[in-house]
Amino acid sequence: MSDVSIFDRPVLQRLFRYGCTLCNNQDDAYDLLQYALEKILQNQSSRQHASDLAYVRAIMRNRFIDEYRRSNRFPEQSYDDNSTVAMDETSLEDMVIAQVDLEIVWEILDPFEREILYYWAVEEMTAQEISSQIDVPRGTVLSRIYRVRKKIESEIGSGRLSGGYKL
Amino acid sequence: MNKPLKQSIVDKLESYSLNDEQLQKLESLAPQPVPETVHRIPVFPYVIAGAVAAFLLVFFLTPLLIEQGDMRERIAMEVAKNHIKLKPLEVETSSINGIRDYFEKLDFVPLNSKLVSQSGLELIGGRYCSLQGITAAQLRVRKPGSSDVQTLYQTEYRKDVFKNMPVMEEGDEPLELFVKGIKVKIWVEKGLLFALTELPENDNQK
Repeated sequence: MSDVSIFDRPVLQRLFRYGCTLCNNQDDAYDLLQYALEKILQNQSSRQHASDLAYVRAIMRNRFIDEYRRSNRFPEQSYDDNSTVAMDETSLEDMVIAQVDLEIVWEILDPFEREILYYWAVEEMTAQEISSQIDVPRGTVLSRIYRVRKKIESEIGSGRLSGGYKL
Repeated sequence: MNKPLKQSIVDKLESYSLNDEQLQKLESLAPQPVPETVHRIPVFPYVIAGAVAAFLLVFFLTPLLIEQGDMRERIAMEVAKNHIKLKPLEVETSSINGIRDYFEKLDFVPLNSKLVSQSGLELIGGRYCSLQGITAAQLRVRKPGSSDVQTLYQTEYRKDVFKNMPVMEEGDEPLELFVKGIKVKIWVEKGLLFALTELPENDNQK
């Protein structure tokens, strides 16, 4: 990414979509992105990262976590890093869902579960790569994947989905 | 319609876009280049004028040419990368009307390209995609009877994003770039930007 500027329009769109994933709100995502860009330009040491998407995303993520802690909206679910989860990112590959049902599922996922899905689906990362990207143990990533799948299965069981799904 | 979870997520997130006003605001944050300080040098005025003209040419034209070349390579790279992936088709149809019926959420109308028609390629189907962040139709075509599929992108020709590209109506020839072992042709026709993958010629002969 060294020849790409974070101010290129396609890159701004990518970062905005990452923000939308965390915030689930386009206005908040815009504010988050603007904050990260301003932050990176504030001091000279940050400017050397001006082509580093991962660095910008890390700023967005940290800011998002701060904001959510402040507003007590931070998800309190615990992820057992040491639990053995017989599941990795490939366990999501076989899932099929209608767009309208994804909208319902998206609402019940917490920001960090949506973030895992973003990296898996949009950036096409493995669990190991996601783990490095967001600086959490791989076990935590696997736990979140497991939880996402369970939540989708639970929604299907509740009959709220239109039926355009398959596990 | 059922889709793989991954594709549904990609489609959902691609529906979120910054508008022009937001993009301009964010772009305005980018650091501006520091203006050069011009020193008075006691030499013949025509020499100074010539040097200034040469400097201005280099200063303004070089970044434009670099940016343009860079954009062409980025388009070719994105097209070749997605061609290699050959993700599943969302709609299978051999007619442009079938394509138009499916791609109703695009900001443009998918068209038959004269260049593609002249190559005798037939439609197989398509899927929603994007090219450099702009929503696009990713179509799949092939020569009748051939098992080698080719990927054909169509999207609105946004000059602010794609810069200068060869325009068929102005008599330009398509660009041809080689990326990841694949030839990618890029051109503009009827206001749309097209990108078509091909195997290099000597690899097409079996």
